[in-house]
Amino acid sequence: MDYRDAFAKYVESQELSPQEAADTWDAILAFERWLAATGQPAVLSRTAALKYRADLVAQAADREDLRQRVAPVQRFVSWLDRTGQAEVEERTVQALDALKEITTALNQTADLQEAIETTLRAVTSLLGLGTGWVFLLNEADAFIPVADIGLPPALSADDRRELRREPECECQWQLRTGRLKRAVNIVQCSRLEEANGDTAGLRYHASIPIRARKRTLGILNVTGSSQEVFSGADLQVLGAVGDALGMAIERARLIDYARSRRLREQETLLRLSRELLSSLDPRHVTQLVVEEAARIFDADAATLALLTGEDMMTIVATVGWQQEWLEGGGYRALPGGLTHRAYVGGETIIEADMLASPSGGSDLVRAHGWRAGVAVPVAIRDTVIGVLTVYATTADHFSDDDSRLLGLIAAQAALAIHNAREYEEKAQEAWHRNALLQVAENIRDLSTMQDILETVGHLAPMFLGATSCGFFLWNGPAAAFVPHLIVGDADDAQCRERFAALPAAQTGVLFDRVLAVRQPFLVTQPEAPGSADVFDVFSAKRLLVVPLVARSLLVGVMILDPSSETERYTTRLLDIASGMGTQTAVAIENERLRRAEMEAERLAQELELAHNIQRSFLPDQAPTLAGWDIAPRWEPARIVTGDFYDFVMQPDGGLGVVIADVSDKGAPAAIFMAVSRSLLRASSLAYSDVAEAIDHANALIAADAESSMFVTAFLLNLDGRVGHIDFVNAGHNPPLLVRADGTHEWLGREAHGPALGIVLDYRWPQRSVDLAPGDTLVLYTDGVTEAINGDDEAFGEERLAQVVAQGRDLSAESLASHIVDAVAEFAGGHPQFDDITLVVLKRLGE
Amino acid sequence: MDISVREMKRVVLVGPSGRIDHQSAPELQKVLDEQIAGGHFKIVVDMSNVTYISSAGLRVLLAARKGVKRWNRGDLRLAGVQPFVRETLELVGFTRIFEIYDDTVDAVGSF
Repeated sequence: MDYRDAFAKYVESQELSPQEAADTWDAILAFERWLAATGQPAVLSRTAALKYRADLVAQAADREDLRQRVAPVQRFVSWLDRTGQAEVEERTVQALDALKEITTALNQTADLQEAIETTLRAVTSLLGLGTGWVFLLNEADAFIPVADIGLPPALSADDRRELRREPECECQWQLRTGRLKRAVNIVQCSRLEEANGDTAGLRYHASIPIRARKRTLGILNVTGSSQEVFSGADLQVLGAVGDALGMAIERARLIDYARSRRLREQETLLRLSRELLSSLDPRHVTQLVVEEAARIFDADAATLALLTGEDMMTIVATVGWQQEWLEGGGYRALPGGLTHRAYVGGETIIEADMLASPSGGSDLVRAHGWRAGVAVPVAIRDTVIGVLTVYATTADHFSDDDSRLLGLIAAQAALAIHNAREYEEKAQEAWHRNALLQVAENIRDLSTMQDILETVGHLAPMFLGATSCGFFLWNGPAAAFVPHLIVGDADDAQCRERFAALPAAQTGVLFDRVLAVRQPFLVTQPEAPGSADVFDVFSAKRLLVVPLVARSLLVGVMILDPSSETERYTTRLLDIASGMGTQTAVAIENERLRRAEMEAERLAQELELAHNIQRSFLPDQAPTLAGWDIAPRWEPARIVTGDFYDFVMQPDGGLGVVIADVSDKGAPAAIFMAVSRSLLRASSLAYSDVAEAIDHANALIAADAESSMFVTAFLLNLDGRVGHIDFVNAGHNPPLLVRADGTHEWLGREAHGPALGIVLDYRWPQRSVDLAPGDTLVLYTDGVTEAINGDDEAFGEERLAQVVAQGRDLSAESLASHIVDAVAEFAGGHPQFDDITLVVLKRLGE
Repeated sequence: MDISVREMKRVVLVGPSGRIDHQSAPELQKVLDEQIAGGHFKIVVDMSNVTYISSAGLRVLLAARKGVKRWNRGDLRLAGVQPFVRETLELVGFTRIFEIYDDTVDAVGSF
């Protein structure tokens, strides 16, 4: 209501002419505009404001532009005062203010009790009423006084006994019978009339229905001691208060409901997740999920389907299924069905009534009489691993909230299933690893194959669920498996006897398969004809056959008799068996390699020893001979060699020099070399004549030449004082003599005899040569001239002559190095092929 | 190393080729040992394809010769020896103990 109504009354009662009325209205509007400019528009829109703004009107009179217009406004305001219109309007304004405040307050609270009490306080204080109380209908549809303010003693006494008293009073009766549709005056309140005690003069009150969306929630009663019957305007305002309160109550209730529902959900989820996560058995987890889902939603059935194969949703847990549907097992979610659709779409599907759907539901659904259903995907991260579905025999059983909660449960289930699966996998893996670790640790330090097999034989049955373990070793040349050892139940002498009685060469289908697959396998007797005796040894119908293969080398096969209980986990059994087979074979193979390595090492040590012995045979240093520079060089291609040189100081002061090369290389050559050296040395000491010395040595060497070995040798005797040399060549490379002027010749190329050890009774020709100062004589073995390069070219005598001529001014030692370097450079990357031995003799300048 | 073996009526013709050094000598030894073990004691080694012989190779020939010499009329003879190899044979005195023929026909016919 605004002052237009009042103005209409004013025009009517004062019989203003239309002109006067228009002028007055214009003045009011002008006034209003001015007021608006002063910033008080909220108050202006109300009739009553005019009265309170009388002082403003006076102010306006001072203004030039308003002065002429103030008079009609003043007349209107004083009429309002005179007729009491202002009071009526004021009440209304107060009521509206109250309503606004109440609405604001109500909007700020979500608490039901607080909302009601706020309303009561606001209504009574703002409307100056003093007393009020509220009844709400509870779930049993009974009136409960929930709040009050300023109750007279008659009503408040005895914990508000009077308010609770039945039968229902007038207002309650009206509300219940649908008569209380808006705020009304209850002129005869039975509670106030019948109450004993001080009613503070209250006799009647206004009753305002509290409603929300047409639902009746309760009654707001207000009254005041000075209160007459409430005017229509008041009742209208109070009605609005009732509606606001109704809405607030409804909202508070909704919020309360939502809160409690969320709490319920949280509790449910917490409990479920605790239960789910405490179980690590996937089967238990899945069953728990369906049972809890059915219980929480009061569903008639629940199903959990998990992805078991390529696009295959297999029902793994159910509740509420009829027995006949469970028989047979392995039931799969039907394409097009609720569960399958949720899986394919990856999102929640909610069916209000499957019976009413075009398909009418699957056979399963119809058989159980299910109508409503919700299916939610069970997903780990973004991967759908299954679907949780709940069914109810009543249509519309599940709300959107339900499907949301079911989604949360499905998420919990996914986590629990994932954990359980992971745990099972981890547990299996740990067990598996433990088994292999035990075997590995136990056989690590064993040094014989027998020890390894016995240890594995004791451990393997333990881990593979068997009682005995037999080993058959592969005999390559015989192409058969040889029974070697059986370990197991020590008391079973019969088993051992039968094993010992097996034919030494095991062949047949079973063993052929070992050769073919080289992986563990299970085999039954009908599958392995010809191996009945092997099955007899173990008294078993089924055998676990584990080939022992290391680095693709077949060592043998291990055969066990796994118990029937192992049938449940054959994959794991074969996995572990495979690991053990490899471990055993590797241990055996390692043992074998270790022996070979030890043997090689022993041999290397012996060769090293032989090398050192050989080395010790050779003179460390060249003899010191006045006027001569002599340097030997010994570079074996291998650790031991057939080459040698020697210096022998003759009793007459001459120097005997030997260079020799034993046929062949390696240890036999080394031994022959040692013998030859000793014989040559002894001979050259015994005979000052080199030809005689050679004859003598040959006689001794040839006498014992069973091995067909021979030795080429060049022997010389040097008279250092004059540079005279006598020499004999027994099949050796002719030494190179380079004169001071760079010319060269070969000693004993023509005049030579066979190598030592080939023929008996031979007279080797002796020759002589004289070395002048500056001349160089190089004795060498064929490792020098026969060194080859990448093109298969030999170093050759010509190249040697050039190299020596080139370096003839070097010291003997340096020349030796120069020759070795030249040979190495010539051979390039070619490994040193043959032993290189040199003796360089230089007659120094005078 | 390629070693050809031709068993003829009375004589076995063994034909090594390339270098007979300490690496290939055992192969030649194996072939010769097998022939001797098989009762062949008239052997001609065709040296026409041999480019080099080391002391190890010489030892094999010497040992084989000793092997066949155990039989009456048994012998190992060489044929078609190349100049470089002949030098070696001469140096170590093998030309004194081995019968050497210019070609295999002569060598085989010599038995």
